Amino acid sequence: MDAVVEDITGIIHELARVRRIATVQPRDNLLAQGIVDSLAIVKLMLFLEDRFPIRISDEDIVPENFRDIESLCRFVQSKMR
Amino acid sequence: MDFSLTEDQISMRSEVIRFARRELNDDVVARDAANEFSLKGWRRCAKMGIQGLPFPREYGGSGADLVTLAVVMQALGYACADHGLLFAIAAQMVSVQMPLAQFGTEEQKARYLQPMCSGERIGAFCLSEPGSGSDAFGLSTTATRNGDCYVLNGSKTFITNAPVADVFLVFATTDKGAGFMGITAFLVEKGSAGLMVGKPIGKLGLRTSPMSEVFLHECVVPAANRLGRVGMGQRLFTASMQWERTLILAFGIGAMERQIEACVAYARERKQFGQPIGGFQAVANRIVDMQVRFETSRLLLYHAAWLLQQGRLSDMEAAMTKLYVSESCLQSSLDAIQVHGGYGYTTECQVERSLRDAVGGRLYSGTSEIQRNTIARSLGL
Repeated sequence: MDAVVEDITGIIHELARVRRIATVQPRDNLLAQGIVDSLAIVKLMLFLEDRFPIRISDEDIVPENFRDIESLCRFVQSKMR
Repeated sequence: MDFSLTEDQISMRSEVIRFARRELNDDVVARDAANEFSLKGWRRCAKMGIQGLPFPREYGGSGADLVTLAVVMQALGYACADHGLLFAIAAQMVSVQMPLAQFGTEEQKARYLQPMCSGERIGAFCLSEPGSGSDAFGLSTTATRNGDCYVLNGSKTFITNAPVADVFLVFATTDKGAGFMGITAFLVEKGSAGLMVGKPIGKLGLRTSPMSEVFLHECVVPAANRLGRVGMGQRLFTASMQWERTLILAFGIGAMERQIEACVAYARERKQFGQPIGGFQAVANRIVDMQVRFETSRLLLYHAAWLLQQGRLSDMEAAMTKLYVSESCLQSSLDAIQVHGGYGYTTECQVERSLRDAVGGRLYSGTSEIQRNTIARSLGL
């Protein structure tokens, strides 16, 4: 598995455990399920900026980038280019 | 590191204390008992420049920095006995005027921010709902796009200023599938079809600050009244919450200062067993603890306000300030009553009103439990 996908899947599963959600599929809606909520987004952003050479701006925090694991991976990969 | 206030800040503090004592303290005991808001006091504060203090000059403000705002709010809290009025003003400044100043269009600023600075219009922040309080983004209120308008449906509760408001900053879901990123903010004017304000809600304290429910039924709002972009409600809320958690209890620190002065005077004058009660260590130590709490609260407030001004305030620092100051205000009020004994328990003494006013501080702008959660999360727990 690509390192980006692996790391992002890992942190999302960690956030999901807080919500007592056992498994998350790549296209499950993270926002609708509350896995990424207003508190988790802070932890997620800190993790992504720490793990990858990217900076996330306020303009980046839109549903298209955070809706599911697939879109999150696409967002991080595009930032790294 | 320089902890001293500037000459301007010292002079402004003295001026505000004189103003508050002269203009804001009429009939507070009676108005508190009657749950009566003072529109006269609101307008006097606006004339004094309070509501516009930190906002740009082009919209009727003074462009003051946030440490100066903290100093002024503390001075008001010290000299003004009507903390319901101060709470109502602070709530508008940090949660309605601030997002307007930061996210509003030029037209919105001219139409809403300017008259709020001048005291002509009153704003209310409408986020909490019967089903979502601490979980602020679990909103049921919806906004559906319809041509050049949005149609809002839902209900809001615990809305400070609602009974007297001219403008309501309403948060609604525009995309249910987007969770907290699907929240958008709207400016809804009083008199809009489908907007209804409920009866005033009675409260334990801050009784001169009016509060009620707000109902939205097929309420049509022009798209031009959307504040910020679609889905930007959370960002707008977070920005205003930093201001709110830092500054809204500044007037409570002023109350602590006043309580200490009153307690020292009473403990020196009141005699039991042949000596002033301040001579007993049990009483003196209680007042000492009040003083330590006051000083530490003030340092936290000024530091957080300074960081906020620099754009460097973290959620943890805002939460620590809100948590510590609100808990200190409550404890200080309890201590002040204890020092005054039976007299402190009476309405006439006015310390009991401070206690009732202080209880709300642990609830609004995020409960003490929520502040602790934020701090714990920031620590990586």
